[in-house]
Amino acid sequence: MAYRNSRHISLQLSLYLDGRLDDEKRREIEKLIEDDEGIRREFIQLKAMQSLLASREPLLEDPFLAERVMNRIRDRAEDEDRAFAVPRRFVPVSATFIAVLLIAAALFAWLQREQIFDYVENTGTQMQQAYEETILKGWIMPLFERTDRDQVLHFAMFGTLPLDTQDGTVLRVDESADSGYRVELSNAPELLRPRTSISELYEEIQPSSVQRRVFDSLFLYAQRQIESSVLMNEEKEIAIDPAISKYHKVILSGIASTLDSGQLVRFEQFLAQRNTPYTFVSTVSHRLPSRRDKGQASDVIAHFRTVRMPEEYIVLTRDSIAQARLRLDMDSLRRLMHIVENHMPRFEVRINEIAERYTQMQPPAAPPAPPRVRVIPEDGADGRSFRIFIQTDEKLAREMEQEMKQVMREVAILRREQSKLHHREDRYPRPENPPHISSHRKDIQVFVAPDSGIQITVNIDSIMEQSFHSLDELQLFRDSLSPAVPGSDLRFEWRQIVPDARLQQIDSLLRGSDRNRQQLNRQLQELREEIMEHYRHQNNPAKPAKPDPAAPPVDRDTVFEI
Amino acid sequence: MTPEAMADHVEEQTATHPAIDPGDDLLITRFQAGDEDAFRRLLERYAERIRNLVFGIFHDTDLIDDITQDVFIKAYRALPGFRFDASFYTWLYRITINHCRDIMRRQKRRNMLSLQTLLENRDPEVTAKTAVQPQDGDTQEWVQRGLQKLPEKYRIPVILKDLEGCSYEEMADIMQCELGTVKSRLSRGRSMLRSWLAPILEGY
Repeated sequence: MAYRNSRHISLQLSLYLDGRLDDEKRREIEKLIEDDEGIRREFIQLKAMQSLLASREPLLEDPFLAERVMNRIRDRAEDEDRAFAVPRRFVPVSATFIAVLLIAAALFAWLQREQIFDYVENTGTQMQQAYEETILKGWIMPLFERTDRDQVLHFAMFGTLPLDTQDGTVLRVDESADSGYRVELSNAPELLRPRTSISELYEEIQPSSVQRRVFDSLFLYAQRQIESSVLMNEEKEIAIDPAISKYHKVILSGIASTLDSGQLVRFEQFLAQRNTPYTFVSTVSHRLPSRRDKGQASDVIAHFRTVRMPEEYIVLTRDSIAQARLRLDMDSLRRLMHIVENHMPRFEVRINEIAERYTQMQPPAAPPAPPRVRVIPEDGADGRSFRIFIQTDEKLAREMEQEMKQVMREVAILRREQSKLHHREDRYPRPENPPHISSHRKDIQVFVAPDSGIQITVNIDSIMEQSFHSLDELQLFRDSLSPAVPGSDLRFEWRQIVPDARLQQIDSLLRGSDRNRQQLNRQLQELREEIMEHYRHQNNPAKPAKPDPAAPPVDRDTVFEI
Repeated sequence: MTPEAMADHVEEQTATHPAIDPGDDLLITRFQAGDEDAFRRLLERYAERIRNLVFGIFHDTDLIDDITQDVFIKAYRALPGFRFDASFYTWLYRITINHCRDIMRRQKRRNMLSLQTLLENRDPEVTAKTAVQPQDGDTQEWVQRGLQKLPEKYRIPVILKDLEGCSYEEMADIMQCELGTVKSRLSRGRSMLRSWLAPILEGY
């Protein structure tokens, strides 16, 4: 009965909150609120909750939404035609065929996984460093975060994304309408091509300002697609969106569609000179719209924007491969980056305060040489940095140690704030000793050595790096669009030159006899054992303490390296 | 008045008073008379509201775009048969809610497997340690998570009322149920959400 009463009162409170009670019931509930503390608290909390809900910030406006919907509506008939291109009786066969292709691609990726893991284990990219230094524990992060525009162009032309610039390892994607897709890791010589830059492209095709804005938007969106297409977690497990195998062609097609006929010829020459594996043939070249065609830009961007966000990934783990559905919020990941970056300057300020305080604490009669505090700016290979030497007595060293503890507390606060977003900190033990903190960009390292030496390393350039904002660029592009959007009659045919031998090899294994399958399974088992052995070995490294050879030979000094 | 005559009338009015923004009904009439641009104006008018409604229901930025597009395409197909029994936005909300319900049902049936789920399943000790408390600054995130915790039949009335500001009658129309059902579900949803937000609301 009490339960029913409680529900009834909650209902009355809810109605009262919305002004839906008649006078008599309103007076009753008001009296109850006045007399009963529990009911009063419930009412107040309901009101507070309503305010919280009402204060939700709306999403950023999507200026292209109406355009995309109208384009989809216009293309509806065409889509429906395509949907029934395969006779219904062949649908089960087609589905089976697609499934086989998917498995083939997955197995191909599996066979390549050792190279991927080797890359992740051995190379020193920023992401890898961040994972190793624990700050991103428990999170899934993009492997190709913030691909620059030149890299996007290179990706569009050759289908490769750089993994390790030193040994030329690239992630290569390829797609053919007839034989599915493939994603591979390679440093084959034919893939090591000279880098192509946007400026070279612009020099060749001489785009107008409107075309440049279109390209800006294309590259911006491509950067986002690439970012969300290859993911890695802190256990070095990789998730690849198979659809990445299409994006490079979409980018290239987008560029080509924006060009007028003269530019198109130059663009083809540009591709041919660089020996790209793709070329295109316009079936309606005599009807190519001019650069003043008002509908052209929006058609291109509408086509490009219809690329869906990835959902199905191929997930490569240490001991398995699977097709998995990942529902990732890339915006949350970007917000996370933003938070990390925004908090880093606080440490810089704090550290500077400490240094300044000790500068002020110098007694007037301090010996002239060597100075107690020396600040030496340096421009190293990793960016701008400062090195500060502080020479002090035992008392000050103890005080400084207290200050450092305060810094460490701030570090701990930062880590808690980071973990709030995903609430995963409990899953991973904190490193014990030495305390070792780093941002994902470069590093902030605080190291307390056993002999009371203190060292802080901060890369200032990386801290000050601004996060990426896209709205302005989108807005800029929108301004260049015209209100009327006639349908485009551009069609491109892709002629793929690269042979598909490797995929065929896997395919033949799949289609082969049981003996081949057994052979394949044996190979997989052997590879799995090798990986596990490698992993066990990697997890037990012996790390001796490493003294800083550059430290000045001072007695009982505390050294800050900033 | 035939749709064509109505459209002519609207055209005259708009030409005479260009500053007047035609209402939904006039735009629908224009559209039914064959003016595609009228639909575009309706779309521009309501796109952001629908996006925010979808975001409230799913809290998934990857889904918003597709769902919003699907909703408007459904509306485009159904609009020729619109009979002006309800306001356009109520009708559009109903399409949105029904579409979101379909998606939620499909998601339930589908075996959702994420990388994180795989990882968590591999480490059974993790499950016991995942209880979390809200921290300063992430109240909105916590509220959104609370909304996602609500069963669909309670989540939708809370969103319609407290996020979208619909009246009880509009909610009954959108949810296609009785007024009494709206009241009880809204109250139940609020109570459940209040329980979830207890750590945040304790200070009140």
